[in-house]
Amino acid sequence: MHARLSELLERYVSRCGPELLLEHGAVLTRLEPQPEPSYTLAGIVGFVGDLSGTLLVGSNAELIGACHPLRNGGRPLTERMLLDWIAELANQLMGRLKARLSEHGLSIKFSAPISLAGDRMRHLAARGRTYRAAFEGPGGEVNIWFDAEIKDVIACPEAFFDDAKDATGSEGDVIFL
Amino acid sequence: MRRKVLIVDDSETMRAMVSSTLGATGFEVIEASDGVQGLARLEEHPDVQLVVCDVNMPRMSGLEMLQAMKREPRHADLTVLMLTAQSAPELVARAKTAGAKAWLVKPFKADRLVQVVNALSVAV
Repeated sequence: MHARLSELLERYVSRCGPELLLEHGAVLTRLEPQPEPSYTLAGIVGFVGDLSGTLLVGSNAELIGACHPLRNGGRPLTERMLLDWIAELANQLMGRLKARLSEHGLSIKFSAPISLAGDRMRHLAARGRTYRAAFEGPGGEVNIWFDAEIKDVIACPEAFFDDAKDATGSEGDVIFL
Repeated sequence: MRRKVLIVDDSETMRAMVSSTLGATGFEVIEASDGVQGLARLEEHPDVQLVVCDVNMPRMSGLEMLQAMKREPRHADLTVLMLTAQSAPELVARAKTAGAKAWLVKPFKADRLVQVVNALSVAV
């Protein structure tokens, strides 16, 4: 059962990154993930629930700058601005993944994001399985690591494994309450 | 007199985006980076008419801030727009129960935000 859930996670991790970055003006093409890709900026979000683990988004200043909302603001983007933005991208990516998974009845809660800058950062999976995706975009690569441990008690009816109906996401939707 | 809006989001980028968008439509904008600071800003600026609030923030989440506002009679009638990367129905339901007026999912286009704020401002 978890093998099929893993396929689903693999699919969403691969799709959600390019969908999100496209919303912010960056077109990504898929790459074969490398064992130890180089990245200098990272956004990180932790999650708990039916799945628990960590989402890590790794990239570089050129690509994160190319999709930054203030890139045309007339002043250079500082490292602080880029760090803030990669954290927000990790947050929005986790929101997108959570929305997809909730279509399948899976429930997770996630933390506020954090970000890091460094020259020789490396991902080391802590537990569970790592779902990987890598993309090339304007100025560099984006790498995604979704480390997830799946609860043993999850019951998955057959229809569970169908793709979520809302495959393009609900971003920009407004609900008046 | 310019309408005053409080933007509460832990992302500086999001605050800058929302601030620039609403500032250009005639709002006076003040900012806070989490729920605790948001409540403090409301004390400093009792003339705030609209609160635009993220959900997922450190120290105090947007839903916790909303609940705290509604418990305080001076802020209980403020119009609140939740602006968040999350769209889980149970969170939207909690926001509705707590008294939020609208829920907008990130990412969003600037004109969408203006549209929503204008719709809400009719009731402000």
